[in-house]
Amino acid sequence: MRGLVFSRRVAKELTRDPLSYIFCIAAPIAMMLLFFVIYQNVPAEAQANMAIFRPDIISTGIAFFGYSFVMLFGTLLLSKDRATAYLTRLYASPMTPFDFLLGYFLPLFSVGVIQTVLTFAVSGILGAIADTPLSIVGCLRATVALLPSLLFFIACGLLFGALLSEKAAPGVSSVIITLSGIMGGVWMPLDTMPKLKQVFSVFPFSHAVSLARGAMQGVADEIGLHLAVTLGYTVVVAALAVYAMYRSTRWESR
Amino acid sequence: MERNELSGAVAPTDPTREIAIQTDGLRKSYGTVTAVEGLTLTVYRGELFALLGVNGAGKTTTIRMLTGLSVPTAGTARVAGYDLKTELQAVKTVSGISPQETAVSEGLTVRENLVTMARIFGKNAEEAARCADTLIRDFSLEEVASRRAKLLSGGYQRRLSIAMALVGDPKVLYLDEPTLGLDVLARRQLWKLVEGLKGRMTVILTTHYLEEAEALSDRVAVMARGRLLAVDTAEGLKAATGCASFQDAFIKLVGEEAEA
Repeated sequence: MRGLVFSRRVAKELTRDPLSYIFCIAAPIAMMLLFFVIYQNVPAEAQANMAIFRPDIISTGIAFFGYSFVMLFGTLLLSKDRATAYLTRLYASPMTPFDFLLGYFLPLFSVGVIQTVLTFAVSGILGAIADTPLSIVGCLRATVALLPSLLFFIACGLLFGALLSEKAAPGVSSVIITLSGIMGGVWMPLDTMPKLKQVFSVFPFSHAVSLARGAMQGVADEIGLHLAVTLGYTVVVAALAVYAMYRSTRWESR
Repeated sequence: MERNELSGAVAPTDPTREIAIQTDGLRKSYGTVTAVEGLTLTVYRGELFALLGVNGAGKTTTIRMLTGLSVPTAGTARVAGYDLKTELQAVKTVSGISPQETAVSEGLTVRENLVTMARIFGKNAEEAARCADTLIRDFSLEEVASRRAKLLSGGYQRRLSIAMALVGDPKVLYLDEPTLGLDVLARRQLWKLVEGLKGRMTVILTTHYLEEAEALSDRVAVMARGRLLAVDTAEGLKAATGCASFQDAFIKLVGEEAEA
């Protein structure tokens, strides 16, 4: 109950910050439009080589990449709260560590889901224009396949927010945002760079994007590996985030 | 004049009065640094009790321990009858704190800040709205009730911060330097508000302003370097030190400790 009350407060802080709309809503849509324009301007004979920019393929990557901004906002919000006396007041209230966790998690999760729906809705329109329509079932499958990624980025946001200062948190988040875009192969066909792909496959980003793309296309290539790596990273980072949040709300203040 | 066990005999507690806070040998150390040493203290219900001391005296650390923000290294304490160590959650439900820095959620309006805190302290939506209305009226926040906290002046923010500490109907209210950084008018306004709380709940006030402690408090505890030097009324401290003014009495007490 207290967690839900606190989540409403966090949601209000998020929705009243204009940057939330720019980064979490406008940026993914703008990227979809940009890649669509690029794809439309590629000569028809070369479009096969630029399939990554096709709305039904790029949309899953953009949805994934959009979560990195959810992470950024989680990090900023938590590190800013920690820097003020507001959290001191709440630490002295009957709120439990679980209430804090729920309070930050729910609004970030909601933003991520809204972002995904909007990204696929815009992709659907662009796909229809480009004559590469998205299937609703594919979108639903991709949304489910993207859930571990959303949880991973929220966990990263809470982890950095609980550990880092208000000044350090955005810097570290920016590094993760950049790495997720490049290593995930969001706008870069990693298959054309096998050595680089091998190195990047140590990290979860390319697996998470492949998992979502496979789900969208209904292709099950190496789905077990992609799922295992994505979930593995998610579980580890989530455990660290829970520990850091618990420490932040209970032990750090001691 | 009551003195703590390190400085002399501990004054007996008054059996006719209900105790709000009782500490026994409370200590807080950070590595080799001791912030509070052997604090033995009794605060009675309904009292406005001031903790006075220069920087690093241990006032804020004492409040942090009593509100569960900091775990005592040694000693025991009971707040409103609850044991700080074994009944911390109950201690938190009967305590309200207005920290040294203004503690408000900046993106929320005055009313939303109050309602959110009231809900966190277990009130339902209707009770929380009623509680917010009452506090907005009591703290003269009507004209800024719908304004976001970050747009308020320092005086209004501090008033809101104190009002937020009252939403849980606390039995013990901690005001950590509530008038720090405020202009004379805003400070006097806050004095009136704090005076209005007298008798309704136990108020622990830390302050650097001696005239504030003298004007508002029923009793004053003087701390220095983590130790409790004396506890008495302002008049009692003046009489015990043989000083005509409260400021001289304070300087004499703290000066003696510094020389010791």
